[in-house]
Amino acid sequence: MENIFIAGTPKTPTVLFDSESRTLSLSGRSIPENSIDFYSSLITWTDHLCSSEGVVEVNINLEYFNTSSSKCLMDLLKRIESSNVVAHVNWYYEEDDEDMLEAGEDYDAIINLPFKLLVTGG
Amino acid sequence: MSSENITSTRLDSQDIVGQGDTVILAYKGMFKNQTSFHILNWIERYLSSNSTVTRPESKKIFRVAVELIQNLIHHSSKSVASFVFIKSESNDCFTLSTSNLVDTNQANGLVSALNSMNTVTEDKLRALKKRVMTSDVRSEHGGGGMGLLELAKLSNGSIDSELLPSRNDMLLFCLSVHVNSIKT
Repeated sequence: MENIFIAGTPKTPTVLFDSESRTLSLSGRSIPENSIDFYSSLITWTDHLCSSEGVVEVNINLEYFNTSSSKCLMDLLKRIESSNVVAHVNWYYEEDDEDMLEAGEDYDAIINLPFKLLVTGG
Repeated sequence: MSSENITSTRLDSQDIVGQGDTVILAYKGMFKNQTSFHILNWIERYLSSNSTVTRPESKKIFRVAVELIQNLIHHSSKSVASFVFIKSESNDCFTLSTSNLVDTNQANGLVSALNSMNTVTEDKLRALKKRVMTSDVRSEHGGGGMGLLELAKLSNGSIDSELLPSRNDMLLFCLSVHVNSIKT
């Protein structure tokens, strides 16, 4: 299974999905006009990874994401939740960024996976 | 869109500008992906270079701008629309306003959605957003269908809207989102 590395742009996040360490990392910003175009291949990759049992780590460290991306993130996390893998999510937010903290709390409340809400320096 | 289309000036004569308000950016034209990129880039540079704007405030303003501008791209890509970014000294807030043409059906849906949001508490707004996040329904443009909810949440419900008569049975939908200064 190929790893995915996508360099970040002003509208799309840096993506590092590593099949060996079974780690999915998104960082930067996710504000594309059509997020489905961007996330569909990531969701397919995630489905493939989660078809084999094991531990999966998800790191989400986004400065900004639009509402369209928030639905895609939900899709991605739901796929992991409904699989047989043992997964946990690290949700990073800048100190004083209440909106991003609340977003993490909302995903934590909806998705039945262990969440860690972690402060970054900004 | 060339950078000349973006103006940084004071326009006291505009209806939406009150006394003591400063128009930081005004754009009127077609909203395409490149337009969005230039405007957001401009706003971000303005916010990062303005020492009176706190980092949390800056991020909130940018988030509002993203949702408003992408809303125009999805719903107004074939007609002229406008976006205005105002600093209001009197109210100690930033206002981001858009106007675009909508048909009667769209107008009714927007008014109904905004009215329902104006009557709910912050907690209920958050609960509503969570409900929409978990639904599989997406807007016809692939969006989350929750842009207005996000705007209401980011502004603590400080949203004004107005429908004005326009041409060919269309209405001009004017939306203003106010982001108050955040003291850290």
